Amino acid sequence: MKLKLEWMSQLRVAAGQARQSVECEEGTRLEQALRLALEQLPPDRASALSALLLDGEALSPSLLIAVDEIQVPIGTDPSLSDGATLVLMAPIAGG
Amino acid sequence: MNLEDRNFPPLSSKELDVYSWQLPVPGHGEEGQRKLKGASVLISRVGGLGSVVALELAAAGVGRLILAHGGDVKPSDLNRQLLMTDASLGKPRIETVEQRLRDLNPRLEFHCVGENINQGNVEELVGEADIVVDCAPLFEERLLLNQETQRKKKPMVEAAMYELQAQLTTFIPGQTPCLACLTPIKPPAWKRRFPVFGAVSGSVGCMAAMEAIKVITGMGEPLLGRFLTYDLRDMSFTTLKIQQNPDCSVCGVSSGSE
Repeated sequence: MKLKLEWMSQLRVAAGQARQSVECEEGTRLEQALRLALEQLPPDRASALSALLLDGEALSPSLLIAVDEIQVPIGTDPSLSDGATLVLMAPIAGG
Repeated sequence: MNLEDRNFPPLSSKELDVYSWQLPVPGHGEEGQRKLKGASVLISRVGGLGSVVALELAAAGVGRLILAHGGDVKPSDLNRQLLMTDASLGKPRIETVEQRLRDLNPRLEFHCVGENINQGNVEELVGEADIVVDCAPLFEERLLLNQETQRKKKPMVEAAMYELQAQLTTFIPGQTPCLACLTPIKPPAWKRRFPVFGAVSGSVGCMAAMEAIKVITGMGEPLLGRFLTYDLRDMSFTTLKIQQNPDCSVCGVSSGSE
């Protein structure tokens, strides 16, 4: 199946692109999809993105992740459907 | 926000004239304008984002603005902090802000504080306000403000920007998630200085002001449980559904809040 990822804020800068497509098997879960997305990127991009996405081995608790425009609580790892759109965002502020 | 029990102040003939372009807006009218006149809004920092919020709320006739911002005007403020001027370089930001806003609307009351939100002032300043607009660049300030607004059950409009992107939502204690549901800790990778155009902070500042106006007057549908994010690079706008974190240390079940 095919997933569409939208990187927002600092994640977009780190990924070097706003959107990314990921081909994966039916029933792939969120965290696996993100690992596949990182594997597709050049090593320097993947490293910069990992530093923002991960807190140790787990996803950072401050990420805002939505699947098909509905927030996915951090700590859950839902199974994804073909054509799903994932929005990933790191926190930003004013100034 | 419950302003219903309050006696809203009447409008003078000058005020009816000043606000005559917005009074006919459906859902607003004189009743809405009197609610604005009777309301107090705290804006945490009046920089790139908050200066535009303050300008719009002052122009709209919010009766009392509480403004907190420390430091002096620097050259690097001027690309986005629209209340600052070249002539005010080196002077306290808050003095310039107060003067500019008084020039725009001398009918309003201002409480201007020359320091940022901190442990020592947050209780008093949030206590004075009916609603808060969070425009600060540091998560220490944002999370502190969130904690106090949740404790005092005051709405908080949450706005932010980065590069050509911006985001906006409105938190109402007991009805929506709070900031700590989304950002439970200070993000380690966040840097105080980040790339942004003034037109980006200005765009989300205008929308944050409109959120505050909607919450005060009851007009329209604020972004409750909804999180607007957009990118002016390609003009893409997305609204996400967000939810309360039951384990949130500030508003969740385990926090002891209602």
